[in-house]
Amino acid sequence: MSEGLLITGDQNPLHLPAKKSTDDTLWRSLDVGADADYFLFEVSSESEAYRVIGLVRQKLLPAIYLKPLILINSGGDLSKSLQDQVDFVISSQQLEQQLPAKLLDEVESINRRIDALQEQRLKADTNMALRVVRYLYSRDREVEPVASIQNRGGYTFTGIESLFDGHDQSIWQTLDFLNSQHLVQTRFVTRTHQCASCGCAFLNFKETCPQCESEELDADDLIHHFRCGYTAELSDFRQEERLVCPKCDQTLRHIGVDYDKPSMMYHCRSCDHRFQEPEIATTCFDCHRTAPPENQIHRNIEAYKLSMLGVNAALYGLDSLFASILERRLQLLPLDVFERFIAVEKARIGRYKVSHSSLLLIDIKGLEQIYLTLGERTSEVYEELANLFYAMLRSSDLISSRNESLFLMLLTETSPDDAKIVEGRLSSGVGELLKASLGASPDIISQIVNVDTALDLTAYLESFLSEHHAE
Amino acid sequence: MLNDTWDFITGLSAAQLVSYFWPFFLFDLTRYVVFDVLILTLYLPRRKRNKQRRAEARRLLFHEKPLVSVIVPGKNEGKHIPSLAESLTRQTYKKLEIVIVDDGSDDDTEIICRKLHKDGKIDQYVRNEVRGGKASAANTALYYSTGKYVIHLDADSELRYDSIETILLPFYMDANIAAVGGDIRVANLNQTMATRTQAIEYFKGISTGRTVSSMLGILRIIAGAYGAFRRDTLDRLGGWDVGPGLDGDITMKIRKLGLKVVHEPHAVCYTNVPTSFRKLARQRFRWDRSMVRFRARKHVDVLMPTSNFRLSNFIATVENLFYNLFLNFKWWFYVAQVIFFYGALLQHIIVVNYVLYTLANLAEFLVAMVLLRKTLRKQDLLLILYLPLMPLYTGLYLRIVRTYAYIMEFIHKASYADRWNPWKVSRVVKKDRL
Repeated sequence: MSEGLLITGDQNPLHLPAKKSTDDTLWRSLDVGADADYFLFEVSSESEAYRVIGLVRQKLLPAIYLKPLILINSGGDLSKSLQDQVDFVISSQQLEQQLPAKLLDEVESINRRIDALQEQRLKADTNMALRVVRYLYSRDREVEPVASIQNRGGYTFTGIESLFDGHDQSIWQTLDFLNSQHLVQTRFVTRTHQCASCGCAFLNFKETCPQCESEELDADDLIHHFRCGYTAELSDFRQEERLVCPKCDQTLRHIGVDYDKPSMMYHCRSCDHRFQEPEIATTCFDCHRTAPPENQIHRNIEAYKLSMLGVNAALYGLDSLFASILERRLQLLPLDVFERFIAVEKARIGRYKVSHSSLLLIDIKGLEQIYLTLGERTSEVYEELANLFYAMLRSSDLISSRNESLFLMLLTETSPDDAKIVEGRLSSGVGELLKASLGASPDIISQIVNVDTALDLTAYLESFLSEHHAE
Repeated sequence: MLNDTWDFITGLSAAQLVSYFWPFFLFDLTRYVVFDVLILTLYLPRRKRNKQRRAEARRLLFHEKPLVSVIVPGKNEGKHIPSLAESLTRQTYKKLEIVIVDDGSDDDTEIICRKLHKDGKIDQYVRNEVRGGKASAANTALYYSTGKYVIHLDADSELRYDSIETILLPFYMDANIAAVGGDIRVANLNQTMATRTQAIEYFKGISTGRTVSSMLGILRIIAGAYGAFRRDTLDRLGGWDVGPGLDGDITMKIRKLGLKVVHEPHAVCYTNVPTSFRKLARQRFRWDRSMVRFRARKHVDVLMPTSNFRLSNFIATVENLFYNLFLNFKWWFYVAQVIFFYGALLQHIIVVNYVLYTLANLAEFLVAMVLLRKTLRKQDLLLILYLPLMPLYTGLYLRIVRTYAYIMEFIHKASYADRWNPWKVSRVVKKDRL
């Protein structure tokens, strides 16, 4: 098969170029492969395979980085890690013939899910957490930790490793973040100790002297000779190959029958201290810092699977997190329902002509950037924001959102002048809160519209968005 | 009825007196009252004369200031250790090393002792995960202690402030002394009637009895609860052998080395004794059986005229066997004699015996008070009110327990099945006839 060949056929695959291609040609062929059903590739070495997988999985377009990857194994054993990083492995012979139906079914199932994401008109995914969420969604499976000495954390998640560009800490941080946002469900697998200063899981556990902290210790069993009651350390009994009681000169025969070992004693060669319970010290193989085990990080190692919230985030973006908090706190209405209320309100006002209601729009730009800055603390800030909204609104007011940052509020029986007061308070409150959290003033745009029969909400929103969201 | 008894007494001839009450006059009065009084009339002035030597010994002790290891082996004794460690800090002799050996405790002992060790309140704590029995625990403590003198102490005991200093002095008065017994007193004496009678018994048996034995050079036991030993001697012996009764056993072994053992009545150790007659019976059952096992079996060689023969060891064992073993069976003979031959006089004989033994107890108690005067407490003196109970306690209760113990040991070697030792140890020891 020739290099860089786009294989046509029923399933429309893209055959990636083999080892000799430069990355540039690979990139180009990937871009043209956005419409392929899957990528097939064949490499001469595992490291080459990892490079290709990395190039695919680190692309920004969901249509590419999520693409099913099929590795053609031309012979030889593949590592478990490599097998975990591609979707399928087939033999060269299989390629000559028809691909197995089961494989094609699975490819189709992955592509259906990717299509579901595409419906959301996704363009480039730059956010790591979102990319992981979407990847997990498209594969619909759990990502499991795999013990690995290549990885400082002692474990890696080979299933999603290729999405990251080599800094394994970012895998942990991303998974921690997803977990803190309840976007994933976890299943306990095991537990590790990790260095508190550098996160490395490779720690040397050592017994040390509780008195002088020396590591140079001898340990000896204590022996109790039943017959004469004599008790001393094993070395006192040792005579060449045998054990002989120094008190009664009898040879010890069988443990449990004529003697036993009731305990063990450590002896410090440095300070001569004798003790039974040594202190335990751990030294990091990487940063060489020494600390008692209780001062190191004890971490649960878990497998991750998307939660329902995670599925939602995969489809609609991570920022829906704030919406979900508002939904819980303020009963955020779906936009179509909100539109119905506006219509009712317009009709009511038009008919009786006695009261005023106002529509307040508030657009908090860059809200989606908060979690990039704050990480795990994002949900706290979101909760505070939700509290702020809650404090400003009365129980007769209604709230909805157009997207992750544009919120609509119907302030019933409120004149535009009164609405101005609410607008001022809300803008300054949100501004202060975000400034305190992010260290920079956010860009907040707000508008007030009088609700009357002339109001066309859909048109109004379109013009608002086109005015303020130039992109 | 009392008038009848009075008439009975006044009508007695000397020969009748002896034939009706021979056990009292021939044995108990002579051995425990007359003899004690005689010996103490020699002892007290001698102790007074020795005042200068004691002062010199004290000077030597504090000049040399040897390290003294206080070893405390035991199972589930953790609750007693904090107060014990605390009380040892108040001793006049300070250069102590406290070694606790935990013989497979299954309570909080380990937690308590590890903490004390960490806080520096005890010097060494050795935990044996599997119980090995008292001897192995004591030997473990001996192995990990380093002092020139080793004091074996029970965890639930408390020492008088000057007790360690006092128990060490004999070592500096006579180089041949290898072990010194402390004077065991009852700490919980006002708890029950059982503890009061034991307190009186301890005054008579330990304080007076052992002082007299010590004077005569026939002391045959240094209490496990509180005794001081020279380390070199213990090392020579390889420590303690398997009990029960390991304290009497090691005393005998020291004697066999030709070294002296003495009792020091002013080295006071308060210990808690069994609070009910039921528990007491269990304790004595164990003690009495070990008498048979160690005197009449293991160390019966001291009675043989071998090259190792020593008159004092011979007498110590004979006296012990005679007064405990033989006289115990004699007492049953006496009971039979009275019932069969003097049946008609039974009540008079009981009343008179009761009075005689009460008076003897009073005499013995007073002797103890004189001997111990400066180390006594007020509550000790009040025990005098309970003296009339003693004939029942020693004459009846203890005798029954003792007879039962002797028979069981002679016939069944019951001590080998004692739960006091783990079975793994008893099995081996019984098989090897140790």
